[in-house]
Amino acid sequence: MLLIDIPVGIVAGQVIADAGRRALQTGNKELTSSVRHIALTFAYLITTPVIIYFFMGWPAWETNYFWKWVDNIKGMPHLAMSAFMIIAMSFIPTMLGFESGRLLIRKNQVKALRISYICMFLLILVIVYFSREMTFNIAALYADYENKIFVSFWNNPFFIYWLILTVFFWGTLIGCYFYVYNKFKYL
Amino acid sequence: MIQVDIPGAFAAGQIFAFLSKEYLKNEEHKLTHRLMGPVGWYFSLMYAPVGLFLLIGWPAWEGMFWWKWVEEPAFHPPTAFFYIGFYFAMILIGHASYVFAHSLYRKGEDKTVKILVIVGVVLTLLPFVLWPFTWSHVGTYDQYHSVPKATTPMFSTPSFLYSWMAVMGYFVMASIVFGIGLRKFSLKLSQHS
Repeated sequence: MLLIDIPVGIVAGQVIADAGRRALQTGNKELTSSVRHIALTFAYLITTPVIIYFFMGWPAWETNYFWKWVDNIKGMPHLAMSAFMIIAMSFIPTMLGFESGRLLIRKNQVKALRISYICMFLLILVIVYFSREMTFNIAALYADYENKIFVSFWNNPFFIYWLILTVFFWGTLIGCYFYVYNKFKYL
Repeated sequence: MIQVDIPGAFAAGQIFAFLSKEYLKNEEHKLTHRLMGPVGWYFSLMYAPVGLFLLIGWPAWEGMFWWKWVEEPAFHPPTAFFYIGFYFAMILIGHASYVFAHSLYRKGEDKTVKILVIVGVVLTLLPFVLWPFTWSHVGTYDQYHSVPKATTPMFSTPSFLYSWMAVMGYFVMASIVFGIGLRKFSLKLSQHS
């Protein structure tokens, strides 16, 4: 969902920076570039596809029922620009998270970095709690939302694909953490 | 168009490998060298968004009017996954092509890369020959397949024409600037190594 996509991206970028802290602490350009490349790869191979899926499959839900236009993107150039927005929404927060993490590590503030991404994660939970009406009542289109035609969050096909993608995202982030950590642990 | 964008990603990977061959010949790491980051930026921020923009805005046109289901991704998970698949395919094929050309350079098969550049460009242009003028029709699957066709010509559909020109202008300029930048950066790296 739009409201949590930005903190999720920041968490991902900061977690990857934390995993590569030994490489980033050296200040070596090649090593920094290598960890940055992993964060970038994570953004375009993991975060972006998840956002594309929800934006295409459940556009109104994905945008927190903020806008009616999501129902009628076809044939509307300025609305189709949302393709660039989707990609920006996954890239910018992930890279911001990574770069902020890198700066904190360079200043020997690893503890502050961890507090930062834990707080971001808690913020995601708070957002989900306060937007629970929107989160757990699914309408693919804004028109359905206006007409109060909802299905439950737990209903399929929504739930099963949500579960697969959620496990895929967080599972990959954990896997990515250990991959990066092991890659640079002997530095 | 999907049928153009997929081989186009292959061609782009070969062309960028050709432009950075001096560096690639001396680089043993295939996936984690200094040029993989920029190549990742190119395919994910310059190449794939253009295809995705056209697929989201004009799904039937982007699929050369082959599939009707591509027009209705909302509440259709397999169709929504198709959009991801297209995005993935452009990025992964582009990367795979670049890595493949890298391994060919490492084996000294420079000529094969040149041949693959030409093959890639031919494959990219082939759909325009096999299904001529499909690109000039703007409309939905049903409009294209009705008799007579109910689509509008590309050049008299300003909303499509101008956005297509804008996005292709972005794509062409971004590709040229990236190609020049990659060439310069790879030469600089190869001189330092």
